Amino acid sequence: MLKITRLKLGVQIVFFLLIVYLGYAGVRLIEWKNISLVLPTLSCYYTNHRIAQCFIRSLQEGLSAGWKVGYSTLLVPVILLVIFGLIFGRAWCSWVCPLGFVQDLSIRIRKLLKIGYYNLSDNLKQVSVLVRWIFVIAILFIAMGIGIPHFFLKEYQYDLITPFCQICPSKQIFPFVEGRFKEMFTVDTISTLSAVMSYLAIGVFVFYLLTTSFIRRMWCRLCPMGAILGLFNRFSFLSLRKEGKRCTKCGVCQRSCPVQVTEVYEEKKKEKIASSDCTLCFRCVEMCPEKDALKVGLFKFPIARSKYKRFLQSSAVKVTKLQKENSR
Amino acid sequence: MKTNNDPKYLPTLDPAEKDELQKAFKAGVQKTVAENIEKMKQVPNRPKAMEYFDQVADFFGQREKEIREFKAQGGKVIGFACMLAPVELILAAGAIPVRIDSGFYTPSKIGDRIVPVEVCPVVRSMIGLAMANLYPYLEMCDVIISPNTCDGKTKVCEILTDAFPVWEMNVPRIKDTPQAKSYWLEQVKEIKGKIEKLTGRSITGKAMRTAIETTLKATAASRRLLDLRKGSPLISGRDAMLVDQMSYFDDLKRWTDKTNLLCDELERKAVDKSYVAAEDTPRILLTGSPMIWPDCWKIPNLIEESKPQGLIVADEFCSGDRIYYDPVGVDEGSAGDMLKAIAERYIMPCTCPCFTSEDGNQDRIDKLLTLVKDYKISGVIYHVIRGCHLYAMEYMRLKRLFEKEKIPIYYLDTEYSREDSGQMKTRIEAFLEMLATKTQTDDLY
Repeated sequence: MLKITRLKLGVQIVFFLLIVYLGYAGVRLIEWKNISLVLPTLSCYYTNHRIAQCFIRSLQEGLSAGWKVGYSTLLVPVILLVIFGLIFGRAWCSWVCPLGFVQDLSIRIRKLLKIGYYNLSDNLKQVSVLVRWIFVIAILFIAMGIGIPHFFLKEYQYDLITPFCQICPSKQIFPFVEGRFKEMFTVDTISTLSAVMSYLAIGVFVFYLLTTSFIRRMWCRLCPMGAILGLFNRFSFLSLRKEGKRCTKCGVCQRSCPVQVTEVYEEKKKEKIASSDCTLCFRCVEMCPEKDALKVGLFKFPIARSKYKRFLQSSAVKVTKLQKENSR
Repeated sequence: MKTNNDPKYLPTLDPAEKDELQKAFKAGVQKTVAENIEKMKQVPNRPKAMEYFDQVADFFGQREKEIREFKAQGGKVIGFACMLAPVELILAAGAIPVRIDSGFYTPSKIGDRIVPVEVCPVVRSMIGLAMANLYPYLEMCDVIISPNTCDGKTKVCEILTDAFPVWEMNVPRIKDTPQAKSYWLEQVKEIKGKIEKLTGRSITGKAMRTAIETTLKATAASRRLLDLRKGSPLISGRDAMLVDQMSYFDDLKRWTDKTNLLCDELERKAVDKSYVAAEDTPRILLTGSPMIWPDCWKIPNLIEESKPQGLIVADEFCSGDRIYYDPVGVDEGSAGDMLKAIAERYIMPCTCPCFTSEDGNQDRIDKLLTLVKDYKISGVIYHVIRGCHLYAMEYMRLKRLFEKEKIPIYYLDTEYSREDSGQMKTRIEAFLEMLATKTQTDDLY
């Protein structure tokens, strides 16, 4: 049986190579009649040759160009976001996003060293949700503000152009991945504000580095892209489904969830588990020891189910030489 | 083996009386065991692999010798009074875990000298065993781990402190709050420290990993047997219950191998269609107070021997299918994570009625309903041994729910003694008759 985690790793590697390195093979921004491909995932501007746009980048660019010129350019990105979001929900975060992959790598390294992790307390979890929405609101406010003529933010349009991208940790990570180490901690000294933004970016990056291994998927909990995609989790075609009656409430799903979703453990009545935190990585499905209790659903059809055999395969304690393969 | 000079509960018995009691006990137990096995052998097409479990079922056999030798070489034996004790940690420290729940009738009469007869017979029997030093597996224990679950278990281990060192574990009665989880984890950590001190071996991550692997394999084998009981009658319920219960004191690896062998044989039997009962035999689910080998075999014997016959296909006993059902789910391999996984495995999926919450013991109800569906149960027998208040008190809720779902459920309250056998027989027969007619009429329409 194919392990979900292994499949996911494969998908992540493929997308990482596509998004980061396809540019080196000569592919440029994928466009059709001046409409470029916009993905609801990091496809960072700071890579050398990006093949697609990050939705957050498009949003900022569109809004700050003002309603006359810019807002019409947002139509395609928003339509693409709705389509992608409706199909896959936040699965983009755990299966495609290159930054998510980089985070998974650091978690894997920690696992190999057999070091434990920390969980956020319930309060801090709420704070993280708040932070990601503050990011969204700040992006909207600054970018729209720049777009309004005679508004005070207009003055700072060159210092605050695409404000989130200026502080996003991928600004340092992708130059690193591509070997351009000199470009990593550049400080913009054109004005005080842009210098402040540069130092803020370094601060965010240091925070990222400190937390990446020890709090699982910390950046995903703060990412504004995740906040927006999370809205689609409720409606997405790909979903996490649960048969509450079969759940023994053993709590394994809750413990193995990298973003500490509690609904998957608590919910006993609703069939669809739609938490805006859930990145649909389906670690819970493979770790669930109860047959058919958790399912990966496409619409209402289950495409993968939890079973004891899958559990044994995915558990960190490997069971070698099980006398005869168990049918569960 | 006394821990203090001034016993709180247990009186010192006259050595001559003790000797007499021991002899009588051994003879009595061997007689009951032989009788029960003889009855189980009457089942047509009984799997040959059961022979091994028949041997283990005799308490004074090979396994006792093995443990004695192990002890002579300086090994430690750790007894535990309830299935909430973390077996993995005992295994990881290289000690032998032995579950000391008692299913003996005669010692319960000795226990009557200290506690009133209203107290549950498991408790009275355990007291009797300790008082007269009857049961080899209890006698060999270096220490007893006692999770304070039900009222009986909570107090019996206080009484046992007169004879053994006892490590108590405080079980949170409301289990799924974060506080309860961290509290229980602290208890498990403490027990881990104590085990390390007793055995002189530190429980490393590697040792824990191996121990978890052992129990995961046991769980896989146990679940395999359960799966085989979902279909046509391949094994009698008593045999399956015996297999489950022999994990109380058998070597877990060997138990796993033998259970797998049994499953292999059952798979072959499924192909040959050699069944232990007619295919339309009413399928019974047992739930409630544990039925412990050998003296509590009265009810299962009656069910499977009565006319019309019933077939026990599943149970929800802490002495049965639940022992190795829930696995330790380790997400990451660090020592802390493994310990957390071990701790959570013991309380979180546990359906013991000693747990409570706002929505009641909903987990147990869901589990029972799932069992009824998966095992195509015709009727549920709710077994309560007198004095088991927690199970008795949960009955009414279950009865209402099951009646709403149109699942026949029948309450049986009994004792370890055989005095009520006749009455039990009549009651069980009446229930099974009802089920049998129901299946027949269901077939008609």
